[in-house]
Amino acid sequence: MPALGADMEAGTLVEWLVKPGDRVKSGDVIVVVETQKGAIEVEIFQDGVLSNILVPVGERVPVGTVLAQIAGAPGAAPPRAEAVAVAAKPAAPPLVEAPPPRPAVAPPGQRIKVTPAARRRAAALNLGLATILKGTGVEGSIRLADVEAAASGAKLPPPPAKRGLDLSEMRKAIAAAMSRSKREIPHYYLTETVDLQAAWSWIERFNAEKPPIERILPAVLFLKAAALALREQPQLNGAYENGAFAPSSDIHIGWAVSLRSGGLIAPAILDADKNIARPIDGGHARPRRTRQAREFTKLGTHVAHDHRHERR
Amino acid sequence: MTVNFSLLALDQILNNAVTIPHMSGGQFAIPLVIRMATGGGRHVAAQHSRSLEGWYAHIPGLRVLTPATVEDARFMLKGALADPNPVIIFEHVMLYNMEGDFPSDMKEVDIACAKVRRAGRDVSLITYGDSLFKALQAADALSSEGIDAEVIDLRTLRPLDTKTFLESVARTRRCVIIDEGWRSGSISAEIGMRIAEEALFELDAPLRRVCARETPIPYAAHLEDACLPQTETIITTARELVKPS
Repeated sequence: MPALGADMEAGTLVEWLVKPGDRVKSGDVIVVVETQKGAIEVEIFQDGVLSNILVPVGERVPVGTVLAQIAGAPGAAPPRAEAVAVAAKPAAPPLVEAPPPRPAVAPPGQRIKVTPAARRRAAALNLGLATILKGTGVEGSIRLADVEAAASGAKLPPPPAKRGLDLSEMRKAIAAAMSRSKREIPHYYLTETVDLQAAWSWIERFNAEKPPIERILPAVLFLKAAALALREQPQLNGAYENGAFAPSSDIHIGWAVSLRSGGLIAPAILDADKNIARPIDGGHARPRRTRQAREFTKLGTHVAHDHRHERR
Repeated sequence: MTVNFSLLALDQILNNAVTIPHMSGGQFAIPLVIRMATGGGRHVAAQHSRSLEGWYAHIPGLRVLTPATVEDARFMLKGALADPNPVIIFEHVMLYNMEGDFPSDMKEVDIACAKVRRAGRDVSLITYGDSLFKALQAADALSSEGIDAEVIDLRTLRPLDTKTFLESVARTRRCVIIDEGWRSGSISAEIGMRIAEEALFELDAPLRRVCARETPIPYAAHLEDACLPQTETIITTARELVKPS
């Protein structure tokens, strides 16, 4: 189960697109996984023959779980990613400071404490523990009495996760990602005044000759400008991982897009510095579905954002 | 003899009495019964106040009995004498002056089972020996606050009657173990672990223990009192599980 987002801890298998015995090659979409952000297609990175499916449809498993096995892949039984990483390392050089541990997915302070009996009862009642706001047990833990009270208060259990978009789940995911970003990343702010008269005139000329579907929004120019700026300033393009900056050779700009059905995703415009030579329809094309190939939402090396709405 | 001085005989108890039936392939039975005084509370300082029954309960091949009531003190000896293997009876020093009646037709007690001495719904107090009476007092005090405590008298520390206290915890879902031994590596640690292993999903609160402070038992009365499990500590520990402040 790949992590299809920085805050993803588990995913539910929705559909297997291959069956045991099928030949697969790197890049094939083999399985659809339901996450808080919607159903996402997951591709495979190895060639071979799918020999064994280990997780059936409908099961929710944590990130890192082996979903299937491939015969003919280098190293017969696919080892866990961590194991590969460890084995690939040369003999540990002494006196090198170990990288600090990754921040936990959920900081300890945020963990909801639930007694084992309460957790089991809630599962039997199909009651989401997140619906219980306050535990009355030891250290504020949710205990049986809290589950029973919540169950009698809210007789209708929330429907089980179904395929498609769960807006409240998406809201939760957005809120969690936004607060984490604000909390963990040092912020600083720069403002610059730019005379856009030339750009505006260019846009008007460009759009005047085009049918509506081919017209572009001014935001596309900012995306293009950002992409070109990143090419000149590569130290702004990439991410801090394990305490070190990992620059990206490609420039993929994430761009927040509202979904027609509500909610928000941030697909990346791949190779934005090259692909917006003639600005494509990045500005007004909207995903009609929430099912996206995983690289679409994951690979952004930089994020641009339009603040106009916030200032009104 | 108090348990404190049994250490001089530890080689005979552990290497000989316990081991010979095993090493002789059962050809030699060692039907030995040792009575030991155990526990603190008499202000007789560290060398006369230890509770080492948990230590002895570590040893396979021994039966370890801890009578607390008058009838157990009277009849456990009979059961121990009938056992073909070594048995140690730990008699708490603070209980020797206790008086009480038992049914005139009583002729024996079992030496294998724990007993529920007081039934309750909200929290299980698991204990043995002198601490049994502190736990019963605590249960009385708790009942005036609306907390209904169940009190389990273990009676035998080896073999441990796991079934009785697991069933109790499954009913009450909360548990305080009271043990006059030192906390680290104690019989209370063993009991807590068995609950964690076999009844985790029944629990509605963390496991809690009231044990002796980890120091040689002091001579001065107020310090000794502060080191040993006391009724008040049992009350506050149990209350905090049932009605967290």
